[in-house]
Amino acid sequence: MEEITEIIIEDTPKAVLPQQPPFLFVEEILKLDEHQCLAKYTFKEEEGFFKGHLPGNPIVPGVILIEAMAQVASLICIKTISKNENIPLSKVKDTLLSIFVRIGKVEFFAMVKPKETIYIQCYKNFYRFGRFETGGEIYKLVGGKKKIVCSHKNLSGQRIKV
Amino acid sequence: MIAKPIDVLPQKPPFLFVDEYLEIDEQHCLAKYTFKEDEWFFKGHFPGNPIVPGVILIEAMGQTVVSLCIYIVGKRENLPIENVKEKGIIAFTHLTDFDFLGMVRPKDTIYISVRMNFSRFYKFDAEGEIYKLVNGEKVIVCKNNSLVGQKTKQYSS
Repeated sequence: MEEITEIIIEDTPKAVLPQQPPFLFVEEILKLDEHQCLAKYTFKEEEGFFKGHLPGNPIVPGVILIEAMAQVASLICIKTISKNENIPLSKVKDTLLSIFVRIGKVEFFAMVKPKETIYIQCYKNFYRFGRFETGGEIYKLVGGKKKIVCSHKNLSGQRIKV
Repeated sequence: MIAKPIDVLPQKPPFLFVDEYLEIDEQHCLAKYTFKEDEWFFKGHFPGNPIVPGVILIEAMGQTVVSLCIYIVGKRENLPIENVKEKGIIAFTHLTDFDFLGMVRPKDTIYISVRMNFSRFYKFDAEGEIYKLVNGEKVIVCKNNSLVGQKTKQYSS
């Protein structure tokens, strides 16, 4: 298995992404370049949605996993723009908002419970005229082995001016 | 008189995005929801510029599809819609081609319209769209092709 202990990126997702808690589902960026991103997130017990989903049986909603993948996908877009236009990573959000416009396909394979850590891996398909498209997956580590939680294909975002 | 979503769905506030059923039969369901200004996610999405996250719209559609499934199961097993949820939960397993066409802001009311493509054994596949009314005209906010759920016997993973 790949080693994922080394932290290459100093910027925290909180400084880079326009989303802020309690709607930020990326905690730490493990690897980031213009083509891919690996990040992780640990669900806290007191997240806003556990109270309602589901009472007495907290499960992370599938749509929150989609949001985590979308936020990691937008990190790739931000990194690309930061490189192309020579803007520091944490300043890109002042000039753009990447809007989630389309999702081609998502499959869910396993459940995520409070206090579990997920690893979110996204790959870029293309970036052209402000539109980007990615594919990727979320996995968790069970006894040191990868267990895929969900995967997506063709998630696209559109960059709009703020 | 159609039952209230809160009595039918296993999801509860603050993660319940259906306020009221307007129409429901074995083929389709129309429901509505009004986003309150103090929803938990507006604080972070985005600070100073509240927009309803796309994934919350997916969830609203998912919950409407689940309502429709519960209604169908209720018909089949001859149970009132409020009592069906004890039989198991519906896990959202798969989704394709979800397009977002407009934005939803706090205090907007959305209408969620879903149609059942098929329901066989314990699997359901539905399509639909979400629209809002702007000056009396429908403005489609998002639509999808297929949203699949599977009824599980119990809560275990």
